[in-house]
Amino acid sequence: MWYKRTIPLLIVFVAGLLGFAHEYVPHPIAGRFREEVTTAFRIIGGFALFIGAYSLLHMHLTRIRRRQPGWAYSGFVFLGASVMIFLGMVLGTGPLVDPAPGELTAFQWGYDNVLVPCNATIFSLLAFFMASAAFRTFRVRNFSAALLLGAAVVVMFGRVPISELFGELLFGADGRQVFPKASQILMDYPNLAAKRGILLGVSLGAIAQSLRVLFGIERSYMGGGD
Amino acid sequence: MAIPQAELRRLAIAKHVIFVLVAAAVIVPFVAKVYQRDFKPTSYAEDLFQKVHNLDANTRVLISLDFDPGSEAELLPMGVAILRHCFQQRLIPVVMTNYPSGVDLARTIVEEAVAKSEVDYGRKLTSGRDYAYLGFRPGGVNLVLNMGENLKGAFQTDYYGKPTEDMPALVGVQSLKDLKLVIDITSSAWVELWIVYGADRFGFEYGAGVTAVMGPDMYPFLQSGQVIGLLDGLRGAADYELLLQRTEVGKLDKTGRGILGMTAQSAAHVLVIVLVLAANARFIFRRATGREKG
Amino acid sequence: MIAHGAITSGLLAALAFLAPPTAAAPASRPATAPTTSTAPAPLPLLDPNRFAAYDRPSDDGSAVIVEWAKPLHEPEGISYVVEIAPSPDAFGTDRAKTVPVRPALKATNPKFFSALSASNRELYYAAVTPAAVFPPPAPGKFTAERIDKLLAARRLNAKQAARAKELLASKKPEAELSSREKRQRRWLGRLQAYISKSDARTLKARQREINGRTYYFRLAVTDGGRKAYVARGGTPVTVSAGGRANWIKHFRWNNLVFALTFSAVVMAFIHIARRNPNLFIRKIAGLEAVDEAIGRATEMGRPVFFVHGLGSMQELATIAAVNVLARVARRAADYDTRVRVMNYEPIVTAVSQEVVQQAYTEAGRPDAFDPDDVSLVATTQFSYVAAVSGRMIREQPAAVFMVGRFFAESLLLAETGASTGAIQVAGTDSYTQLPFFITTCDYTLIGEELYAASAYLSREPRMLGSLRGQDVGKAFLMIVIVVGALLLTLAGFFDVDLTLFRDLFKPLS
Repeated sequence: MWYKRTIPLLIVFVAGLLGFAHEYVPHPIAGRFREEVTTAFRIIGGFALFIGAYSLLHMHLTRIRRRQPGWAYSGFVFLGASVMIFLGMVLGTGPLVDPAPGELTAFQWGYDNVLVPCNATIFSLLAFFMASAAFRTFRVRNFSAALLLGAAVVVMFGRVPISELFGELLFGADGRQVFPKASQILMDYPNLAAKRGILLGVSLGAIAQSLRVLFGIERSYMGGGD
Repeated sequence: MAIPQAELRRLAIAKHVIFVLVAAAVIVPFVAKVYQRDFKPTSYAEDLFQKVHNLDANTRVLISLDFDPGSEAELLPMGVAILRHCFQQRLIPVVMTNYPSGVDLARTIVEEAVAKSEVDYGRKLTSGRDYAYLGFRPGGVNLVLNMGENLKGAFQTDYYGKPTEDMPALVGVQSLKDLKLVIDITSSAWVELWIVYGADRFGFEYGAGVTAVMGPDMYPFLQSGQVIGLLDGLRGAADYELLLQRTEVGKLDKTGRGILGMTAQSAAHVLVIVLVLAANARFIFRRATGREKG
Repeated sequence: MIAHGAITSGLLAALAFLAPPTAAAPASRPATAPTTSTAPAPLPLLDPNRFAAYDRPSDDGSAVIVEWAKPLHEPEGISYVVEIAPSPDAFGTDRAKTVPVRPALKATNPKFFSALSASNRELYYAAVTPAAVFPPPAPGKFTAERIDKLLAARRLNAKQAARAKELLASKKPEAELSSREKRQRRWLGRLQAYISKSDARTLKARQREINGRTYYFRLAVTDGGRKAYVARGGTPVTVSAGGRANWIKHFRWNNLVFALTFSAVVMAFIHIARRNPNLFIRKIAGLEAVDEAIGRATEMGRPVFFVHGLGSMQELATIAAVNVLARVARRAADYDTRVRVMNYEPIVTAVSQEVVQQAYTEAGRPDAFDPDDVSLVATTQFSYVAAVSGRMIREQPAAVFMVGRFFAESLLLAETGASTGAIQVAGTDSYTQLPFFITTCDYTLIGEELYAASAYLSREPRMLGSLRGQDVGKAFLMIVIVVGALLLTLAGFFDVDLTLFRDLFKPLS
């Protein structure tokens, strides 16, 4: 049916134009428009959370029912969700309790002492993965790979304080800043230039893509077919 | 890369050895308590330090801790160091956060800095008088714009429920325009939002603390003067702690997590460099003897 | 007036570079009276013909500009004050206010005033906000009297007012309150927050109304004791102006012109592409590899994983990722290979489900679509990583597509995928994560290659045309960068001021 496509496209077009125009209009009406749109986003996001929660729980329930590989982990999802919901409703800031402002609740304890350390644990894997990725992929196969390797070594070494000791060892007292300066030069010039180049391309690409979305040429975000 | 199984098995062994070596490189310096304190801070860290150091006593400084526990490792030491510096200089830090999941973390940072500073400087620090922790309010950019008009209206009470209207820590601060310096410590786009919707509109000076991976993105802002000083990553925190220590040479040991982490970071970086060079040496040797392709 | 920031000023600046500027002859200004060595220096006389007040341009109507000519001689220790009155006869009464101002030359603020104009280098300005000088009355604290006023204004009903008064009167400490009393206190806090929010809106509206009225201005120079007004025939000159909200930010003309020109070029090429659909586009290895990756998964009998990253639906990288997902899902449906889509955000989940379902329907296999294959896995960063990594290790995908917005989790995901031996195709516009993907993935779409994905995969002429327009814009920027760098370098050698040229290409502030 025509209106299933046309009305969303119209909404996108009008909202996009207003969003674009708002950047060039100092009138207070532009500020009010931005505030209302931001509030609307937050409200819609709140509703969308229900969709996500349903999807998540349904998927894990199916895995448990069908005893798919790793279904025990899905059990943990329900356990964790149930515990935190209970803590939040009864021992947190939920409707059944009234903690004083600043009071540490059981829900907060759960967040601080379970979720946060788990997040930190996963994040800490990054150090190990970086080392193994560097070991595996930094090979002098050709000139550009050699350049990448050289730059990586200079920057990695120059960023840590121990490079000053090495600099002093190799070049004397005046040589303490050799490696940090080399690292900074690489970061300030070729790295920044490349970043700016990518940023310019990305910005222009973003404008072109936005135009395609605005004028309805690109419609994938609406889901479904053309 | 799509890797053949035999190669995968070989790499798996090498990977486990590497993991053990990295763990050792990080843990041993902490256990052995080997700290390096003679390195030179970066110029932009020094700029931020000097800016704070040269403020008059009782100047209010807004510090926005816009990160969640995921970025705690790099950014918490910065927050603590800057707050300790503020207390050392008898400034009045006003702390807030734009991350609902970072409210408690920000509170922890404030309380840690207060506890350490009370010991260091021998004076009691009271919330609402010597500092203020405002907590979180929703609104994002709109909150910053509201603070630019009426800060106390945007935060009617602080995190502990005390009204801000007559709070001694906020005397003379009606809006962001009354602040000389705002520092944002973040791992997100908030660092730029504070420039666009804060510093450029309301005229305060702006310093930033970001994760190491975001540091280079801030260089254009440093060059243009929109950011007057920058701390990037754990190194930035270490630089700030070192500068703080140097202001009280021989008196108190202000070794924070930044300096503590530098030796581990040095060891890990050197280890990675050695491993990479060793792997390449092996690669070049094998290629030279015809046993390696490519 | 609007010359600043426009293209023509750039051409004039370029011409200025070729012909070094000559100093403008100063306009004749009133001199000061001669002084003796013992008498204090006389206050400078200000030119009444160049004293004016007007609405500040390109703003929200919150300020009025008062301008005057900089005197030839400015003795040490003098300052300026502006007197503001709501009517001409209010001067000398307590209805008028005197405000000290710190003037600056108009030419130093290219955001509001043209730096091209010679007169702006001789004129001082000060911005005056009437609402700051004549502030509206503050709403007042939340007391019993205020509650009565709110009730009278019908912002509270009788029940709310009575309850609020009762709670305000209670002086019980927090620790002694029962649960019910604590709930009531929280209700009072929410009521106060609501009232103060609407107070803030009312205050803003009143400030706008105050700023919009016409005010009368007089200017005086003072040394702390004496005061000399801008006068004509011994009578202080009075000028008037009021703030008006403007509709255009003139200091953004350069930005607007560029945006519209670029948009026009893109639309023109889209139009051209309709008539000539055979536009060349270079090979993008990552996108060519989509079919190869899915084919490999089919041969091995293992699933394809599609990881959206942490972006929300309003981000362009996520929109582009959905385009790639449509293609991947369609191929997977054709080859009867399972595709598992792992989402971080609920709205993205809903869109992805629609896209994948549609792909299966188009392939003639609507029954093969399983909604649980496209699900939300987590809404926090490292929970997402843990979930996706765990599934990668358990299900051993043959192909992994990581397309969208990524942050610190990029390397964790890519390394885990690599450890399973999967072929990996990544695409992101987060340039801080690109190095990680490039080192660990087989193919990487860098920045705008991701945005080009929909055009590349569909080969639709209109989309290809937009890519061509984008390339023209890039070429223009490259030329500007090279020419600009050359000009600025030469200007350094020949000591020519090219601030105007530089201002063309940056936001004026």
